[in-house]
Amino acid sequence: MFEMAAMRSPLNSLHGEDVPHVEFNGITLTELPFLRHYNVRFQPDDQQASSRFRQLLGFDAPQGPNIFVVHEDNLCAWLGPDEWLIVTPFHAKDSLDYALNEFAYGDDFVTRVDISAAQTIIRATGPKAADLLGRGVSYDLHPRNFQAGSCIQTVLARASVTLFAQSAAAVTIDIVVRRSFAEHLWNWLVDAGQESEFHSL
Amino acid sequence: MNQKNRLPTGGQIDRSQPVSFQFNGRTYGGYTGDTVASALLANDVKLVARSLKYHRPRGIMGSGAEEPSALLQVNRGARSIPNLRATQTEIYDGLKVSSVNCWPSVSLDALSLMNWLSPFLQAGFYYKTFMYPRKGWMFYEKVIRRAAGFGKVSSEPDPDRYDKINAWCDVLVVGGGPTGLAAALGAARAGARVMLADEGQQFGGGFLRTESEDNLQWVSDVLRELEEFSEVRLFKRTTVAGYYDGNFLVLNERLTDHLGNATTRNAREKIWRVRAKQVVLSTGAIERPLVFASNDLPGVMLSSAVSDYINRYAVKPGQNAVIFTNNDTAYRSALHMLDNGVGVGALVDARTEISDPLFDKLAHRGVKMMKGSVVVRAQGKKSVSAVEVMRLSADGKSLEGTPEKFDCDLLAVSGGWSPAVHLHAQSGAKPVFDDEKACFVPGPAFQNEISVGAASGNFSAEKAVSDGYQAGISAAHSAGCQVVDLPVIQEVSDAYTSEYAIRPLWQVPGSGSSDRLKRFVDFQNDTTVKDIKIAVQEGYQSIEHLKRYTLLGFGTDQGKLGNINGMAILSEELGQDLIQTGTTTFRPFYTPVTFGAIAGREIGPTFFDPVRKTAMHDWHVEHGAEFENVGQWKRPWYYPKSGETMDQAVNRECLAVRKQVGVIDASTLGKIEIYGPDAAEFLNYVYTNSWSNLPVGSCRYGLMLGEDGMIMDDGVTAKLGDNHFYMTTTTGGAAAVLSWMERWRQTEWPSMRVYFTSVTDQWAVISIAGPKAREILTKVAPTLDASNDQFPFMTFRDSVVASVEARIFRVSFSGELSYEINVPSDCGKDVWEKVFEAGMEFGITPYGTETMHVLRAEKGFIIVGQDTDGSMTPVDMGMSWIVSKNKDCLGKRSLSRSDCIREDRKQFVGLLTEDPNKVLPEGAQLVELPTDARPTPMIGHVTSSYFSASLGRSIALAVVKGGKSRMGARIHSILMTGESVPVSICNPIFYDREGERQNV
Amino acid sequence: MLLIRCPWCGLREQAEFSCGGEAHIVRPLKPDELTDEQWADYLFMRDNTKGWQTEQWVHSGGCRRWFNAQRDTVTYKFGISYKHTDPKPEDGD
Ligand SMILES: [Zn+2]
Repeated sequence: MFEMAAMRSPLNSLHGEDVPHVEFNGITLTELPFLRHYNVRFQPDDQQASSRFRQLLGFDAPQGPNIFVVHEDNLCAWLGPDEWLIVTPFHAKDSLDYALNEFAYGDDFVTRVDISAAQTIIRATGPKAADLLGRGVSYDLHPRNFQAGSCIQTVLARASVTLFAQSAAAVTIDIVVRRSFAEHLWNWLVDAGQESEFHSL
Repeated sequence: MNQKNRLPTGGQIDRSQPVSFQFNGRTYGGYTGDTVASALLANDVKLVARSLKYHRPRGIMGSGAEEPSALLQVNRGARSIPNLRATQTEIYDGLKVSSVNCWPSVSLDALSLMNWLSPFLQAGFYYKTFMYPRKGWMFYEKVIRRAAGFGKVSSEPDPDRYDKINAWCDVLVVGGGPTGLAAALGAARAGARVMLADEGQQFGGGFLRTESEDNLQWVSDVLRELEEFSEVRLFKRTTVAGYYDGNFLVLNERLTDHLGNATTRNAREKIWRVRAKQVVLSTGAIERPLVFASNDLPGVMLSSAVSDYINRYAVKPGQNAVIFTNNDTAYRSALHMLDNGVGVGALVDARTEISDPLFDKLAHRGVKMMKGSVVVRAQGKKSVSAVEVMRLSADGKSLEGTPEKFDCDLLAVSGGWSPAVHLHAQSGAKPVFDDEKACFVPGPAFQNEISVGAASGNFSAEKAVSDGYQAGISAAHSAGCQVVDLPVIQEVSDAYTSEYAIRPLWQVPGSGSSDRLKRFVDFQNDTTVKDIKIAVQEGYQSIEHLKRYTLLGFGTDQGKLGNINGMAILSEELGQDLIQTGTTTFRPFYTPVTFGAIAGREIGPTFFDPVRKTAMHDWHVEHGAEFENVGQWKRPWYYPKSGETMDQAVNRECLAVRKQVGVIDASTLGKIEIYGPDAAEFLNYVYTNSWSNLPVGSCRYGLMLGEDGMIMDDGVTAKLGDNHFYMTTTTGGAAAVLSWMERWRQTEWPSMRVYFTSVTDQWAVISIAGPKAREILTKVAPTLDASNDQFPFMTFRDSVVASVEARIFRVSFSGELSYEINVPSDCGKDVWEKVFEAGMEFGITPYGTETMHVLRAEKGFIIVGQDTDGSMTPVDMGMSWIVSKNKDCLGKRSLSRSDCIREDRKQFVGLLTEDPNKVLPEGAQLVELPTDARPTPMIGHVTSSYFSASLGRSIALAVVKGGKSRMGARIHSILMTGESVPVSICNPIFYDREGERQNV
Repeated sequence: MLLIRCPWCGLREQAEFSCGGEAHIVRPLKPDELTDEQWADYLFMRDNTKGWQTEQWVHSGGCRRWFNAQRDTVTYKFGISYKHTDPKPEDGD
């Protein structure tokens, strides 16, 4: 059994304590630590797996690239033609665990890997958040191009990331980053935030 | 303040904001809106620089990016910057600048002696003279470098921040003159996302140098409308410096330099990495100088620059002018001069047929109009004082009549206009020569760009505006905007419209009296007509070769003024058309960009490269670890106790592992989950050994080869379940191995049913090693039966360690009893601390990568990338045992290629020095016998070398030609010092050769 | 900096990709039966085309999928990108 106090997020917050949080130029950065992340694999043309997924999780995994869906506690993002990321809050861990175990059970080409400790999420909020990220992302984060529900796997400040447009006009962008790159990315974002000119895109 | 050449009214300067600045130590006054050049001219300073080679006096020739000579050193301590063009450097209170190329001062230049030596300094002089003796160059170079060179950079760290940002737009408009403003307006009205960039402090371009209030009003009207569009962004002081593949352009925005010492939070400069769907190039044109004797004297100025200084900056660049032209545009400048109190003694026009409506008007105002004539020579010491004029023959090849002399302190020249095709050419297109206009104009587009206005060779303002507007609209349309009935653009009128008629004149023929004088083509590099002739005489024909021999077109201005004249003169010398000669390659950047801007924020230990840390990093810091960079990772190298040297610490750590127990953070190993019914089959392909019969719960060492048979990576892989494996890779190889496997799976064997998931960051790995390791494990994992029977070597168990679910692998890289405890990284530090606490009673010692390396070297375990270098096969490394004979795998076929089965390949061996305390340097070369013969035949090199505390002596690993069959042979290692160290070849396993210790 | 089209994710900057060299080189099924020369031909010899060439690329900074793309080795322009399950298209845009 886990001892809760033993957990430490990639940005070094302890479970239950204050999480890293900064504000500048109307942009807020905060870590969303201790969410549960799962890498889920199955073949998109595997009808049985797809319907079992829908039955157990209550929604369809998105079939197209660059999008994610949210259903109740779960966020599910397309990572590749046979690969998804599911993120759920800590409190919903057990029910998702159960559903995914059932989903993978007995099918030798369906799997899920718990990667909760392998990555974290940095949330950037504010109408100028996209302008901050634009300093390191080559993807066009204009609201016409990066609408709510978009998710982009790209490179930000030399770290591989997945960006989630959580709201229209890119007011809230969640950045999924690997654990060992999180500190670098956080420092980079805070450094880039020192600039005095930020624009709404 | 005394600004004797300042006009009482007019100009774009802000007279309410006087500014004082220093130039070469003297204080001058100017106004906000002035450039250093305009302010110096206002103060009647004409001599501003010395030339590169001959140290001749130079003045201000242009008014923009083309300026070749008036280069400044801005002196601001650590913010100092060399080679800024005075014509584009805005003044501010307290600015301190100096000339870049003179010593001890511009007016008393000690090196102007060079001018007297100049008959010896023609093209190729340095190449020819300083070749012999060869060693002499070391001396000559120092002297030459002191005499040459542009400016100084600060050796202090740069105190400024530099910003960098990506941007996307539908239409990027380059150049904010009338054409660009009209284009931006067209695109904006069509609904496009528009960026408009201009290098200057003000939009308006050519309109700023006209006398027309209407034109200025037009500019502000257009700007006001543009500012209302939310998707239009206007950039002043922003140079579009480079145009690359994929309609990718780099903009350099200068944010703070013009503010001077005012405090600001801004970055100094900002690089915009722009992806434009369409690009409109309204970059204008650059006026050409004319080539005649002593055409470099201060006071010789482009006619457009004269108009700029008068109308835009309200400065008279002289009192008495002569104008020398071969086209119509200088006529307008003549009017500007006359209207503002500058006398015009003569207008010398090489043409005989002149239709310009201003001709009569100027004559009427007393200007001596000299058709079919040329200035053959400028006279003066430190600035122009008079010119000699003669008639030009009909064929332009010779002079006629006797020279007529005119006194003047300003010579305005216009040799015609060259469209600024730089970005067009950078985009991949080829400019073509227009015979009628005597200039290179844009050729067919290669990317999504269009040149308009003067940049396309259309020198009429009226047409430029309507063309620009249409270009903006159609660019928006091409970018996908729906264009519906747009209003027409407000027209501009020109009172003196004239056709652009030009008589090409690339050089004024020599006259007897001026033949010995220099006629400059490239002012920045002091390239003369004679240099080009010499180059041709010596056989240079290609413009690219000529450039390198004469320096034509090099330097900070990249030949903006001189190149076309130079190409034309070369063509004349070779008797060929200009188009045959062609241009040199236009390369980024258009004007120089500071290194700071290019580097951006990715500098210094924090941002140059991501720093990756393990979950236990803070613990290592708290316990005094020294760190080693392994790729991007920080790994503990060793943990010195107070007063310990590195050697002492490593010896202590090694002995602790061999005698008691040590703990190392192995979290950086690459880890990949492999799942699917074909997982084992897949491993059979990527590893040399067989994975078909590995029982669940077991681990196996695997070696991965490139298809060329060379060792690529290695690691231990465990079988977690029937279709489920857990692979570890080297720290540095993690990403490459995953990508390698994905590649084969996706491209070559798409039917294989197997998934890979990187879990490197998921698991923190605490590796305990040493005779007491089991006792610690038993304490922290009370539910686990860790006995050798129940948990033998090369197996793994799921268990709970320090109350955290863990995967424990009984594997060993040290040769000792060892467990690698994998726990989710969230809990890594906590579990590490608990393991450490549990190990205190057994003397647990944290150890770093150095000790790990020594321990594994004692055991003869290889490190891929250290003992191998991409040219070593498993056979070379003495690992044939791991290559299965019964199956294929990647790289296997290569092992039987003739080159791979040579007996004399370098093979992996151990080395022992005769002196047990001598530790060889890694990388040291190995030879049979020390000899003076050169080249000495090398037979191998040292790959790993340490002092082994356990053995009480040094050990080394090496690769030696045919080494496996030479056990006991005595060879020599040659050190950098030249010392030769005798060594004997031995088995690479130095310690516990039977491998009993890891099996206890 | 080129823009490359990942058949899944769409147009992305070159920095997100790695090139794997010429495409449509099939690994011999029975390497053991090949002569050294035949094996070397598979291993080392490439067409080195001037003009349109089909190459393997991987969207390493994105979806990690390998795909094939046409590229003109003279102009650096990219043509069609396609998945391995798609047929090989004609040369050029
Ligand atoms: Zn992709």
